Amino acid sequence: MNPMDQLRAARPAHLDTPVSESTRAAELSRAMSQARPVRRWKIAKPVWGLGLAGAAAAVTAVAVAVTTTGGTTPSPTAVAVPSATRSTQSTQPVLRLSAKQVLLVAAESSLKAREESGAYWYVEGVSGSADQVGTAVRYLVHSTGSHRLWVARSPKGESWFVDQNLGTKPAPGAEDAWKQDGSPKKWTVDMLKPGAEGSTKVSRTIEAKAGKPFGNPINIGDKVFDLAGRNVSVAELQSLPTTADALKKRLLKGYAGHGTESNAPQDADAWLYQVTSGLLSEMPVKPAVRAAAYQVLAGLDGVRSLGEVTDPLGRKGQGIARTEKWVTGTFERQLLVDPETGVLLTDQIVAVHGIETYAWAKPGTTIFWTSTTEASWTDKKPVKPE
Amino acid sequence: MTDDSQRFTTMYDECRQRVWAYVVSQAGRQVADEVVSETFAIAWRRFDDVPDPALPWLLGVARNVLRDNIRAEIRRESLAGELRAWTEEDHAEQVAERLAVLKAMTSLTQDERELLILVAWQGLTPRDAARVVGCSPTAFRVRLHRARKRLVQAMKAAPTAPSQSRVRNLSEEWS
Repeated sequence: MNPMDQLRAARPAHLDTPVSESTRAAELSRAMSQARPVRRWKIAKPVWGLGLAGAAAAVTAVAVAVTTTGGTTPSPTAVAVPSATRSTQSTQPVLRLSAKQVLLVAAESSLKAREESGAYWYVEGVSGSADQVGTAVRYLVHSTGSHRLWVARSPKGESWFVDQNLGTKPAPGAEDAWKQDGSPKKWTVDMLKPGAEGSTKVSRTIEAKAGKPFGNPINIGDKVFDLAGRNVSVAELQSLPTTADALKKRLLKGYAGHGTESNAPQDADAWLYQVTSGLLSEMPVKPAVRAAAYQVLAGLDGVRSLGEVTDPLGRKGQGIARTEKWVTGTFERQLLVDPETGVLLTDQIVAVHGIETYAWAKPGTTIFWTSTTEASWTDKKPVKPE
Repeated sequence: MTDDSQRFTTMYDECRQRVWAYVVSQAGRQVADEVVSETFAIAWRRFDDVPDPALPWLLGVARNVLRDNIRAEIRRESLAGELRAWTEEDHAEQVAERLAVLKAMTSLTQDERELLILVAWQGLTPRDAARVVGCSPTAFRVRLHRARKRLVQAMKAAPTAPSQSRVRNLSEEWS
């Protein structure tokens, strides 16, 4: 007999001891009482592939702002912010602000917001992604999803996250290829999952049809968000430092040299960029904390200005970007901000140089995006799916 | 129950036994429940990241928990007890051949034993087993080949060695 077969046959019987009902109950309840990070890193996770049930449509952001050359650098406070209407109506070339200026203007504007009352912090948004699929021919499909988040102000309240897969369809211009491929309603997509020693490929199936809304309570006790690697309550978010230095220090306490959702190494600036933009896109913090957060972003290295950018929902904002390296290549994480209100409109990942499973992504292709359409305090209760 | 907790419970029921068996074979029954419990707690926290099939991923997590959360002395003691059980339990029912294989297993290094167990007792493909121990499939094949040779040698070398003294030596070495 082959030694492996001999070994197989010699397996000690006690290794098959079934779990007792009481141990099973205890282990399950212990596991499920663990705080789960709020699913707000959607935009980050799909880069290596998982957790993207309601994957998404990509619209290439076109950043075409006319840049004046040789002009004097406008001071951030004195400059006229090129808003959507002004820039389209004006025949004058629009000044492109530096990334720092955009962020400092957004910080100033954030301070103008009032502190609101309300039982729930409510966030609503849409997200999307692009994938290359097809067996007979290769073409792009766009998937979209929507999400709603209610965060109870009271530590005793229930906080809810509800999302819905809005379906997948061939990208504009890809319909013919899709028909050539036999008009499938289902596709398989390869993804790369980084591991300790290199990445492994895993497959995911995406379907054309939309799903039903799916929701679940997200609070564990009074903890509602994962901020910088730690679960925090609304009260803790409300008492965050209001100066950039103190806020940065507080956030960096959670930095351990790797990403928020994986053990892949991540440098401190990339980490801060992600954590701070997460805070700005959907956490209930005071206007002064938002201002401080924009100042933290303004102090990071490697952030560049994109000028005016139209987001996947057709809204115009000022774009800033930072290059990030993933196992799937080099990408730019772009934040589109409305400088006049300090609202973070969209967080998107745009290909610079895709490799492996993103080798198809031409530079400038948005592969993931999350747009926030509303973020405010309300007294309306969570709408739970049936 | 939410969809997630249902899916999680299904995964637990499918994999718990095998995760436990792996931990027992690596570190003994004394620490197994604790490691398994922590492994599934981590799996819940990172449920969005858990691939399908989940087993290799879960074994990898259990391996890290074992390494990071269980004190080395306790792990050694618990494992020594486990290895002793392999060669002492149910003597009447142990056929000589089985006993020889298990005895040989106890004489291997922890690393060698782990590779063999993942393939023979957990039934993992070399690719999945490589993921558990965190090396490339190619490196895994090479290491498995070596471990297999070592097992055959150990079976030949000590077919009649009294199991008790071997295991005792082993546990003394570790204490």
